[in-house]
Amino acid sequence: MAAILLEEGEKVALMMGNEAIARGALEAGAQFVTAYPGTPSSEVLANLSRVASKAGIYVEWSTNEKVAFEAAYSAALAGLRSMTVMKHLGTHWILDPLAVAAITGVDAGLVIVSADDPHPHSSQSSVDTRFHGRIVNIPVVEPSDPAEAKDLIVWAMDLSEEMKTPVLFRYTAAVAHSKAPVRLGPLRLEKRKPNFPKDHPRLVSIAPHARANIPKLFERLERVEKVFEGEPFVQRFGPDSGVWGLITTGVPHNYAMDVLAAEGLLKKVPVLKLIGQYPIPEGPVLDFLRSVDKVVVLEELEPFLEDQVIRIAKLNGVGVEIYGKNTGHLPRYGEYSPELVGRVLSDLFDVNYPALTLTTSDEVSSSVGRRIPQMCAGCPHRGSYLSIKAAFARLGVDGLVFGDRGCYNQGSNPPLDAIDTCIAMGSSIAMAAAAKKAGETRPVVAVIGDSTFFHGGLPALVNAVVNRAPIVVAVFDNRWTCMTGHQPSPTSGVNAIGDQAPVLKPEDVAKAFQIPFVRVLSPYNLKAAEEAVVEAIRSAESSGLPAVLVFRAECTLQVLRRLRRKGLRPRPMTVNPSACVGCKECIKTGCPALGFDEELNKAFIYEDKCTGCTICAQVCPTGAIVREG
Amino acid sequence: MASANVDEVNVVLAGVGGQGVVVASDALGLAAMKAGLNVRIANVHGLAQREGSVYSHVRMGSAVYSPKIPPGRANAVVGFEISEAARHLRLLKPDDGILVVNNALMYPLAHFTGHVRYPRREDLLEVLESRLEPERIYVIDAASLAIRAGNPRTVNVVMLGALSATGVIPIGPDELIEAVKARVPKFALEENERAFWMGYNEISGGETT
Repeated sequence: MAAILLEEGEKVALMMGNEAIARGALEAGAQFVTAYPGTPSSEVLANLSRVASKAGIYVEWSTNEKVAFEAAYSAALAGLRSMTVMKHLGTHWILDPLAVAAITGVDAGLVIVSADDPHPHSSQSSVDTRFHGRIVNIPVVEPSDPAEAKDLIVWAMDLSEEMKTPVLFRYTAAVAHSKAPVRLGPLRLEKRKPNFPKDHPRLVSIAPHARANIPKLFERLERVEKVFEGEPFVQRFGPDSGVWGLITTGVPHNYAMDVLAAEGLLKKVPVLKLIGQYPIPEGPVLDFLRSVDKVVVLEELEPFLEDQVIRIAKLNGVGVEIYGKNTGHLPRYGEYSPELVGRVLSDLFDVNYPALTLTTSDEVSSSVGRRIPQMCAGCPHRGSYLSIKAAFARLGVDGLVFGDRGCYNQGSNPPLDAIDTCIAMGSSIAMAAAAKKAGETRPVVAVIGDSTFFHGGLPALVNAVVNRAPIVVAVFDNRWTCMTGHQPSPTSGVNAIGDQAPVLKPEDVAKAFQIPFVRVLSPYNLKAAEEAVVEAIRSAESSGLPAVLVFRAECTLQVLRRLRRKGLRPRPMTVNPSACVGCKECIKTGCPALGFDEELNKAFIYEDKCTGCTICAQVCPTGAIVREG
Repeated sequence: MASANVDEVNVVLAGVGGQGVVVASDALGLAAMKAGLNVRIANVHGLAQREGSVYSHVRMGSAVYSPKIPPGRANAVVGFEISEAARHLRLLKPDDGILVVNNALMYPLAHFTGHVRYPRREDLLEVLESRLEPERIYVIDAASLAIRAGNPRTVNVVMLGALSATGVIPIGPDELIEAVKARVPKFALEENERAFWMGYNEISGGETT
């Protein structure tokens, strides 16, 4: 679908929010775009990388979000319109340089695209990153659907360049992954030459310089507020006045419009949509508050707008009643839905939306249990986890496994139940080392994927070495950033646009850090891997230093994809029913290619799902699982 | 059959990772857009590769703003798998919404380990049939039809064909099939077209040649 990104002329295309943002970058003259993958943001750079060479723009998957931000900031200082894309968790990583960038300002447009996950669908926390813009005092904007997202990238880029400030573009999962018709605008493919300024009083931001420049930041904000007072950053719908009014932003705006449309209230309830949210445009908000008696503020996550609206009403003596999170009518967490907005509006004024379901349907729907995600059939992580568990069992210990962020999170689910923590990028190594330093006597293993190892694991590994933490670091190296859709990792040997890159090896890093026990092994040979884990635990204990195991096997999905392209298929395994005793040892590996016939008391294998990795055959006590054919 | 004066038609497509829910919703959305309708699609597919539930909401019409279908407002729930159909039953319009369901139950691995218990296929079907009048539930064996069409992976297009034959969506079958062809791999056009008519005729009672 990437071809649409470079199409010219009048056209309306059905686009996913992230695809629309990628197109927006090309209409905004973005010449330098960086990202670290993370749901729900990954498709932006994934799409741009497919057309980057043709469009003549630079794109990169950076090592982490802080690097991605600093790269885009540097290019913006050099005069190139730039954009950096990340999920909310990554936006936490960039606050330090972002705070300085807010003070120095930029020479060309710089848009930071920050994808929030309010539900959360695929995140370990769900913080409202609009506050990151507010903390450092840069403009914050938010779109409500894919079409607006595309246009807003252009508006934000123009605003950024005109006001010489980075702009934070916050959006949420429902916009990122929904699809809607998007009217394409003209492409703007810039060919600017970089000219990095030698501007010491601004860019050498030592304290005296920072002190001199901080006031300019607030002057810029004042000018931005003037821009935010007009369209398109503020939009009004419905009548000029009413009893009830709504102040909206983001996708909740459209949930509200659904409710008003269904209830015939579009012409009765005035709506103020704020695309520019910080600095809040006081004039239009004040006018709106004076035109209604009561107002509901609708936004996902924190009362970011609501608190500002309350402040404006209070300072200007407007007696309007303001409903939202502060009054307990709306939640401060979770993803909003038309159902939720409908229920709240139904409680407050004369609507009854949706309130249509039959309780019997609810019963049926809630009777179906959740599908617990598993690692894919044939996934190498399965063997890695099984060997760690087997090593603990052999040593008779209840070891601790500190997990990290990636596909291998699925190892926390039953039946594997193989990790004890999942916190943040790189936390596994830091927390594992600290556990030992705090006096933990059980064996401690840190499990971390290759992309995460380079993203956030390196400083923690250095820390574990110099502070002598006797832990086992198990790097699950499957050569790609798989959880988010197989983006290149430093171990892939290829970069965002498909150019060859050096293949970085975690074992080389470990050796350079003078770690005495470093072993590379295959996760598909359970016995040998178990032995290696036992040795690593013993080595850590005897040397008083970390031991590093690199479990190396490429992601099965990538291997299968290449096979399929050659017209080949893997040879699946099969269960010999006369040898199967129904012990379910194979099922307990958590491989979705396995099933169990309860009437016959025998396991079976879904031929179309099995990749023939042999893990189940290796755990089968009766040798009942064999290669088919 | 293009009609720009449709207010709101909502379709839920629900299945399991790998069943092609997202492709089917794209095709439906493209066809609706071609027919001059406003369209919104919501996808939840975060863990599709990892045996999770996958669903799409496809909304068409002039009164449609957001991509999500609230409970009780779906004109059709199309279940590519029976437990996923049941999971989304609460979205169905209580008076006249229809259910199109593939008569297959795909047990998650956790069912076999005892961590989650799923009902038996025939029991769940009985529950669904007890909740809806007979003219509002269409049960088809999409897997067999897909195999007859020449590719077991065309279950999604069989289901679209069946949906088309129910007459619930404001798009003609020929328009929908064109959108399907725009969205599936070039080498699989014929089998997808056959799959579409297999599903269509299963409901309409027509003959597939």
